[in-house]
Amino acid sequence: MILDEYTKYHGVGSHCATTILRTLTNAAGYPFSEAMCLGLASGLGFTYQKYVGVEYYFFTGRNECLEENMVNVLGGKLLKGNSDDNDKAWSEVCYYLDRGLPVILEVDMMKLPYIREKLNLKREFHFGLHSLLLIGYDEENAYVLDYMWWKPIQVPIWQLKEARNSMDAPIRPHNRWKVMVLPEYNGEDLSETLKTAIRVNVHKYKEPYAFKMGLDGLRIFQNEFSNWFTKMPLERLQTNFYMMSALFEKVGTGGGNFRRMYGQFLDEANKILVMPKIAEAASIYTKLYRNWKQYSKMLENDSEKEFEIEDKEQLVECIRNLYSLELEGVNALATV
Amino acid sequence: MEKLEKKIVTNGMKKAYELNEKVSPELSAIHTKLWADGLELSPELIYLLGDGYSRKIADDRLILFNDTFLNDLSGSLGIYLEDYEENSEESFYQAIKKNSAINIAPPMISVEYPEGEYLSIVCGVFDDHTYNVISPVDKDVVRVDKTRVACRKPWYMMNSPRFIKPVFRDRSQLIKEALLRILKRRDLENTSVYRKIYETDSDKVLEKAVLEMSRKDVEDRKLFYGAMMIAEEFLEDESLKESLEEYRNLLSSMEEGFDTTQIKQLFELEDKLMDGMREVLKEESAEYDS
Repeated sequence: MILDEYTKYHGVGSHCATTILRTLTNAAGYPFSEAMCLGLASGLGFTYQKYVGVEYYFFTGRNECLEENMVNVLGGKLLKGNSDDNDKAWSEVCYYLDRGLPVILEVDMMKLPYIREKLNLKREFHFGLHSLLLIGYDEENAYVLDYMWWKPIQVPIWQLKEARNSMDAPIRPHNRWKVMVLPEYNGEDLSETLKTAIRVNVHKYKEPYAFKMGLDGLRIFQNEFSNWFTKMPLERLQTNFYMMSALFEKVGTGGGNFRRMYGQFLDEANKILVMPKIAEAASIYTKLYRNWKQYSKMLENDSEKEFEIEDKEQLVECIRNLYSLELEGVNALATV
Repeated sequence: MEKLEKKIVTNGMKKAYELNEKVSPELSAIHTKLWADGLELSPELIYLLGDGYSRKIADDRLILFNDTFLNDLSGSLGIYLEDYEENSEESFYQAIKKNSAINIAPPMISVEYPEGEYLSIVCGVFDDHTYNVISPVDKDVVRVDKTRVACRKPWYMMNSPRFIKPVFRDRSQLIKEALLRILKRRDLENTSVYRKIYETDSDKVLEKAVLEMSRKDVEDRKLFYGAMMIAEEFLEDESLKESLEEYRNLLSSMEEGFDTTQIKQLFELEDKLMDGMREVLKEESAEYDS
């Protein structure tokens, strides 16, 4: 059984979660781009964390709860669950598939060979928050939509179960699943919806729920980053640089990717809202995209140097400027 | 049940929990947690923000209270809700012990009381399998052991924005957004996609309610009445007044028992109130646009 109708709304995207949001909202009739989905899901954020037992720092450029935020502004309903029992978790998702509803799954991407092959990562990177859209299953296989592939991917059920309950990821996927039930789009005016999504995002970014998240997390990171050069041996520093560049540009949401999309979202939103502050913020986020990308490139180059890092001052300066610009961007939006 | 001496119960912010006697056991843990985070909300406002209203059937069960309430409330308030479900007893006890020690957002677990099973805040770990919890029934700290802890049920942690010193968004903005969301939800309930999971056909729900609706369900509807009163006050519109009074009188008449006609009237009045609210919001929006 495959829910074929969802494949026609799916396309390659920039990020796993926002691509799924685009597929699901398009299927409900909303004419949303991926960037619009990021904005309506109040998805812009920042996370800087060090997990126990992991030698590198973890970064994202996103907020938590994209699906919850999206459902909230659109007036939908989110059903979700998790379990440490693989079979129970599998039967739960089949319940919804059997009723014609696709299910969002969180998985450890390293446990899925098709992703390992595509990303061609030089080091092990167990990321347990990768999202897939499960659209079907038969006795042996599951069929999923993933943001870097045009067509549904066939995955053996046993393999998917392992990826869903991986014990290797610092943040375990814990067999998490979500079903978004969305109202059908009837051409309604989206002004209030857009404003709410921006307000929620500003609040989440300025008042994060945990330490080292949001704007505070970025401020702490820019303060701590200059000390990394004296505190870390070269090899560890380079591991961190490699992971940062991967998380910023290749596999994550950090830095450039989400800033580019958020800038695009603001441009699209401003066609409806027509507010000078939003136009101003849109250009700031577009600039942030370029600056984060440049920073990421510098980190990637440095991660491969043999002896020492020579552009320390530029890197420190770069992250300081990024913080100032991020502050400028969120302050421009705070007036919406 | 061993009752401990009353003491100040704190979370990571070293704030005392206030135990409000008037709050029903179902909402007590949520109310207490929000109060500790500096957000004083009445049970009716909590109901409104979490869209507590429901009238549907799922898997042959009548659902008259929103089955995703805590999730919806958290989304509305900008709270990051962590929810977990453990299949193994030991995983559960280890997780609660670990997260209680972190002392930021206290775990909220399901505990059995003579009156029913309710979500309770864990405020101390006595030993690996025994906790001090804030009883939503006794409104006091009680010690519970394995025999009363429902370790297979989901457990939660509500992480408020700016965890050290919680900062919530403007209350009137939250109410307005909640009202719009409630109305969109009612529209959603009539869609084919929603009906893949829930039965919302009025006749079928009424038929089920006639068989299964309890006095407790009627009691819970007082929260809906309270939420509508908040909506009326917020919208500064008196057009709902008459229907609200009629609804309140009907609820009072159903306290001792009720029949099919009364349930039907109750549901009809609920629809009328929702429609009325929709009209008021539409007019308000038109005024704003012009």
